[in-house]
Amino acid sequence: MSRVRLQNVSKTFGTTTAVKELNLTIREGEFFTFLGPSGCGKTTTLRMIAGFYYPAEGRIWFDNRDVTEVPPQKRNTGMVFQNYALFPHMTVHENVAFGLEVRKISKKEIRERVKKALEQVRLAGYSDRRIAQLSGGQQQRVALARSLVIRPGILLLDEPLSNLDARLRDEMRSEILSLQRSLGITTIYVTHDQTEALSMSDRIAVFNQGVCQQVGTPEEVYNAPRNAFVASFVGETNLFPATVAQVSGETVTVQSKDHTFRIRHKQEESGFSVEPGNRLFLTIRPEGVDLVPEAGENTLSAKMELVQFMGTSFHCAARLEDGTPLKAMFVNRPDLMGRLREGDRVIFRFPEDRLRLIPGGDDRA
Amino acid sequence: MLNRLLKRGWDWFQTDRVFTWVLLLPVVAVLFSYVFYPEFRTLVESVWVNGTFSLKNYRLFFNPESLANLEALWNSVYISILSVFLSALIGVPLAFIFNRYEFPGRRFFASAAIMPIVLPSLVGVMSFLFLYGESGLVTRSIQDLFGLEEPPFKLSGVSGILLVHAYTMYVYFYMTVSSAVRGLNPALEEAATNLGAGSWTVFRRVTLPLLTPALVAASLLVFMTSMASFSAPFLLAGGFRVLSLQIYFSKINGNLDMAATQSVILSVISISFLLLMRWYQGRRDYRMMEKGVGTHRREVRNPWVKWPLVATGVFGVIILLLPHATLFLLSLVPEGTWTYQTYPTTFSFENYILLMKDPTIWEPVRNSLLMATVATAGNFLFGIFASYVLVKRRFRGKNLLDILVMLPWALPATVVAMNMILAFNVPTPFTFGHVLVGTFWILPLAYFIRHIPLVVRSTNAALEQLDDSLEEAARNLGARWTTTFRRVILPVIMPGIMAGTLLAFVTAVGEFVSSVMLYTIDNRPISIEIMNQLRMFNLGQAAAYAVYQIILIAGVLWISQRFFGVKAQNTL
Repeated sequence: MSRVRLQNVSKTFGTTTAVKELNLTIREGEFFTFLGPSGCGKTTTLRMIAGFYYPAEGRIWFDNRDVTEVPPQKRNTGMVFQNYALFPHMTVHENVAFGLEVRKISKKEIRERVKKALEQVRLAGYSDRRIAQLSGGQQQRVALARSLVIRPGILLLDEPLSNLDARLRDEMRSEILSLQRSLGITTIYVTHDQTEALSMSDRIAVFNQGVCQQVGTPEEVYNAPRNAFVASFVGETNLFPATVAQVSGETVTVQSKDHTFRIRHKQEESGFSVEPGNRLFLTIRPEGVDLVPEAGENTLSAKMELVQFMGTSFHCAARLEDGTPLKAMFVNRPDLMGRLREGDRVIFRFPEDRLRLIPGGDDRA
Repeated sequence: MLNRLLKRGWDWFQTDRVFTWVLLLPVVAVLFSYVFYPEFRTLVESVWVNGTFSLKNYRLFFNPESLANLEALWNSVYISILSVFLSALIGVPLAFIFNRYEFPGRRFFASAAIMPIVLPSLVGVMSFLFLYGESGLVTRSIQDLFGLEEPPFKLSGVSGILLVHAYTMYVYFYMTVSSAVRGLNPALEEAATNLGAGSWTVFRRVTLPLLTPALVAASLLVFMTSMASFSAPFLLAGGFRVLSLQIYFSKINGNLDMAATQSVILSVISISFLLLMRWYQGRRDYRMMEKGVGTHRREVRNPWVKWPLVATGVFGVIILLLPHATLFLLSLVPEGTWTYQTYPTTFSFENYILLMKDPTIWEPVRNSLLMATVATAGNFLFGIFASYVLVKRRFRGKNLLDILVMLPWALPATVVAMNMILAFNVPTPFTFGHVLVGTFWILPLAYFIRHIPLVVRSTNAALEQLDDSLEEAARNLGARWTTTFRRVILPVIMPGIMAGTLLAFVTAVGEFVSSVMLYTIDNRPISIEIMNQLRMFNLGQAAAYAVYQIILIAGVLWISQRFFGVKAQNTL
């Protein structure tokens, strides 16, 4: 098990910068996720850790070993590829044994370790199958067994679930997680799926355009996004431009949409202070929005445009008086039955402890 | 200390960029010595007259007063254009009929339609002479049947060449259009019909545009092949001049300057076509080539359409297979038993038995097999490395290297042979200070050069299928590059390499054009011996040699389809 440290790492391809001045420490035994849209630099970073790319600048450390220029075969990482990269001309057993064979491990031990690895991924009895005879989920498990059997210091997973259908994806998600927990192996997981990131990770690094936007636990990233990108990429949110009107202790008053909103703002939690006149974003998650019978503090009137019943909840799309769209989500309760109708005019309340301020107004740029 | 330095050096050696150059070096060396340098020598020869630079040879070529060369150039071009049209006329309808309609015997006819490719060029022309020549079997039968004084027709000149070209080259159209028709998503035509288009509109507005890439590719291929064609004009032209033949005659007459000049001009044409093809294929849209498209063939039910279709098919197959049958038939005619008679009367296996008994008859077969083996072994090794570097490594000048690899395929065999004569008739460092012309080694080297593109291309196709992540996975699991290559890459691409190599082998066994320019009495291959036997009117033995070649080629093609899953059209 290793700790991974990226020190001021940059990577360029031709003239485009794929990763810019990245500083990260991944702790021993941690399940760490790189989350971001495609082309954000998350896979490039993973491949630098695996050794398939060398950084243009900066150093990469495994514990106290500088591996920046070490070729991939000497890093002892186990990587699961997006398309699994199973050797098509070998059987399941031969695939899993490959990494042990090149390590010149005795035949007997190889047999035992492969057997154990296949049991771990619940594929005992499949050793003589050809790769083409396996389903997608089974191939995924072989890939996992193949990278775990070599007892890697770090497990690298590059969008491993993206080729599976929805049901299988949920199943594999918990399987990978329980395997990781039981082995306690340092794991770096690359994904663009926020549900995967939130549900599996100890910590998440959110990437955009080659820059790491925020590092934190899933709760921190979701509840206290550092900027507008993180807020809107991780989960759904409503973002309104706003101007600070008044600051008194932890209570901030802002002007937005010709309305005044009161917000609880803690500087140590969000990492920035506000002053009157600051332009920034006001944000609220759809599930933070309340439905109230009449107007009052922090309320807005809107017209319900679309109501989708999802079973556990209602997903609503509404439009404010000035035409701004608003997303709201209500957990399914008996008293809501029949109250959410498309075309109705309703009053929403933004509770002050659910509203958050995010920097990103034009004067802070 | 030293240990650490060594380790550092080794690590440096293993970095990707350095390693790419290490792999690249031998590939570039071979291409430079045996592809670029000979072509360059020819160019120099054509402009270097009596120790100074001069365009005298080119002035001579384009001299309006002696039109021989210009006439040859013009003939080559117009024969090539007509060949394209005739081949398309046969190949395209056949491709449609065999891929779109279901009728009794369709599968058999469809595979019989590619039979012309098992005939090496010289053998193909020879069989046509046996059939439709002045004293050919068909010609004589018609003469007898109608009691004519004169033969009704004779195979010679332009019409003869065109007939042979159409017969051998329609296969290009047939194969490329067939695979395009199969790759065509039937939903597109159905969509057009659904939108209200009639069948003619569907064909004109949807089907034809989608087939255009295949048609253009086949046209370019036929044009180039026809420009390079040697055997047909060689045996049929009479006094008729074409450019590839002019080179041969210039060489025979010892006029190496002019041969070089003619080679350069033919090279320029071929290279422009190569570049044109690369450009066209580069901009070609592959999105249509969806995999797993379910083709549905329309079953022909109407008996008035069905049986004529089958009858045409049967008749077509008979015509297609007549040359093969004739060669087999004539190979059974012992020497000296068919002289004045209209038809051969005696049949026996004497010619085949002689091969076992008579060492002088066995010798050309042995030569061919030996030289083809040597050349192909080289192709195998070179193909693996060149292809790996070209497909999987990034470096500056890759495009240029790729063109250099394709060059021996684009250049007519006559030109390749001419280049070798001009480059290796003096000692060079590339031949370790030996003169190659007039030795055994010149022919294997020529075969090797000719078939570089074949092996590299089929290996490329296999390597392109191989996802990069496979190599990365192996290295991630701790395998060094050599282990990765041996255990992962090589086994996966082996079918592709073998397909190319086997094809190179059989083509080398059948090779005539570069052989006729370069052979010596000690290394004369089968095709040269066929020519000699023809000259001595020993048709039986010539046909027997031809049958060996056909059996060998058909056998190898069958093996590569059966065991390496290679589709015949991939070999073009």
